[in-house]
Amino acid sequence: MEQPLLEINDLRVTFHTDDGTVHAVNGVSYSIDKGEVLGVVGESGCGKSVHALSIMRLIPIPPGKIEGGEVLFYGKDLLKLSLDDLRHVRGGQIAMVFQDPMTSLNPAYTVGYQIIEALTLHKRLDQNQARERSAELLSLVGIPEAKRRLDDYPHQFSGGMRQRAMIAMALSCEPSLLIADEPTTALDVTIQAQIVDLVKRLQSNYGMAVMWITHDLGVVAELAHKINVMYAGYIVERGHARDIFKRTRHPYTLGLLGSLPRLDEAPGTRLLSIPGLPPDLVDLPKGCPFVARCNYITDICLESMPPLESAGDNDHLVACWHWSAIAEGVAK
Amino acid sequence: MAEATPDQVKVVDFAVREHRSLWGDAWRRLISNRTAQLGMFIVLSMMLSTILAHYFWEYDPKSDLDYSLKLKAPTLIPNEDVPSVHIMGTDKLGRDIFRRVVHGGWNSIRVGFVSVGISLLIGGLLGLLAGFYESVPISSLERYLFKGLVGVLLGLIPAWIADQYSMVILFTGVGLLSAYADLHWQEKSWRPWLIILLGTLSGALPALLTSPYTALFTGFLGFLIGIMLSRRLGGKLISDTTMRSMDIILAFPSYLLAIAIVAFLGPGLEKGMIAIGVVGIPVFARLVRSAVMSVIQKEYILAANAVGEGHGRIMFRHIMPNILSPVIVQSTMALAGAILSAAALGFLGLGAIPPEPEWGSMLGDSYKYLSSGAWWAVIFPGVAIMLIVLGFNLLGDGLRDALDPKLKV
Repeated sequence: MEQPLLEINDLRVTFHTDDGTVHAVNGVSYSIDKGEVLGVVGESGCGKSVHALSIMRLIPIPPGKIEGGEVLFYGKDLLKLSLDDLRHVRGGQIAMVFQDPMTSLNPAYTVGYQIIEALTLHKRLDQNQARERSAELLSLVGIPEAKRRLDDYPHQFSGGMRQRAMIAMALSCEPSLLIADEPTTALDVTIQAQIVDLVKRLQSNYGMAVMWITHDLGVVAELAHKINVMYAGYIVERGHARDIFKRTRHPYTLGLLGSLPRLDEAPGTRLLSIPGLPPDLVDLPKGCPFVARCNYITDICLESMPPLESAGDNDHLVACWHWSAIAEGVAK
Repeated sequence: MAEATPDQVKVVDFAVREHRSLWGDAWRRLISNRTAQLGMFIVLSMMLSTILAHYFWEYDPKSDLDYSLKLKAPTLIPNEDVPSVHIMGTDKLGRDIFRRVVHGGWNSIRVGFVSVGISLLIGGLLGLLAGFYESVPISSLERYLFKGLVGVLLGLIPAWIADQYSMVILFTGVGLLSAYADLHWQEKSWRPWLIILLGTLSGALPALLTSPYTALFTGFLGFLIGIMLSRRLGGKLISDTTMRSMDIILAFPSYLLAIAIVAFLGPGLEKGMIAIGVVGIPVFARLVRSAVMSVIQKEYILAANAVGEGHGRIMFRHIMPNILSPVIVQSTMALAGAILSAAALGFLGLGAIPPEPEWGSMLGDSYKYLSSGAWWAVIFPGVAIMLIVLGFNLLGDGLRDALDPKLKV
């Protein structure tokens, strides 16, 4: 079998705060193949962003700490790399796009300057070539009059344009993995659809792998090949996108799907929501973290955390003691 | 009516108007602000007059002396008593006050700029490093650099005491070794003891060439330096050490500390500049550190990190321009303060060495004659100090409004 692009084994991340140790990521393992689009879904504070930032060691240390595990990128462990070697991976091979386009460009420099800077960091280009290339990149992400817009400052760009510029920056060095950390959350729906289309198009053009972090199942349904559902720092379900939607095996995923509005619903139907709150990450329960909000709870759920095990075929993994019961329910 | 073709309709290209930078906007706001205009006018006219006077109006304070004109009131029309024009009168040695005020500005304003430059450079750098490494891990090269530098700087103290400058090289070596130990001998329990031992030895051994007693003392100093270097370097340590030293400086009343430094270095304008500069360091260190700590949390710094930029670039290219506005405002205000401090030192006779003109020392020379009615000898240098301080403060206020439009409601 071919070596996966990125392989994460038992990644654990904690934050030391005055209230105690926050267990943000608790033993996450999965892999991304070349050219694969992975959706990472979960509600706020479930460790989606933290685990993505930890891949390139971008979490603030201290208070953050990567307690253990390994992140193998092309077989080498990014967690053991020296900072100088890591800098070549950052931006050069793995690029990131962040949530808030309003603050992710430096207000003191022109957009062009920032793209050129990202370009020349990893590639040997002279000023003219770099300028040409940045203009190309800007028009590639759909900004009209790219050549002139290069000399604009970020405050002269709209939110959607800034996110496009960020994507242009991320693509500048043709990374093999793009981590998009809720890139459309701060944008309105039409722009959101445009950005999703843009990434989809670029992904198939460049053949790069994409990790798309979001809490919006609708977005990943369009985009992702595989989906990780995260809850309280654990992966609770992982599988091909179709399996996650059609053959759901975890009560939390079920809850997330149930809370999506549907077009075929009778008018006036109230949206379902998952009752309760996610557990306190400082003081995680002994058993399954979802226990307080689950309809399928039995004694074993209180006793121990279910392992992430295969739920049938097709690499479908789930961490629930009762997945077969849920499977029957979904089948009906 | 003929149909209009698209190229007949002149479309105004509003999308790409003008590439306005933040600084350009701030400048426009500044020059349209009345307060700032007044401040700028005062500051520029005073600075211009002193600079022009310094280069184009010769003045030799040593030969400027005329007892026949002692303490004459301002005279605009020459008469028998006062054969020359003195628009601000003369002082106790019969020197023209107008001339001395204009030339004194060269000294007073220079003190302001140089001492604020010292505070800004040292304080700003310390604050930048302290704020930056508080939330960013130190790379191995930086670790060698820091510890080596600490070795050099601290090693200078015992080396100066024992007059054996070879010691500096030894302490640098100890610093570099401790950086190596930080990286590679982390779990070895003898690591700190080795550094402390080496520190003591490099303090004591070269000093034996001078005298055994010196060796004992510098050996002790070396021991202390060894303890410092044996600590594993982290952002918290850098930040704590710098900020606590700043707190120590702040604990002294500022004028007292300035006087103490001048007393240590000896009087003179240059010494005054250093003294006032050192006293001002903590203000800038604190300001810059807090500004860095707030900017470093912005997403564009994270983005710069994610693109793979180095620490130096992030510090100086990405953080610095974004913390510049509070620093500029503070510098302008500090200029006023420094000129005032220089005047105070001069008044106490610790500033410029007489007969060199300086506003503070002119006040100090003449206030005794106030009771005999010679108001002009005191008023004019006093007004000069007041005006320049007012000018810088107004300019500082204007700059704050211009650079931080969020403050305006």
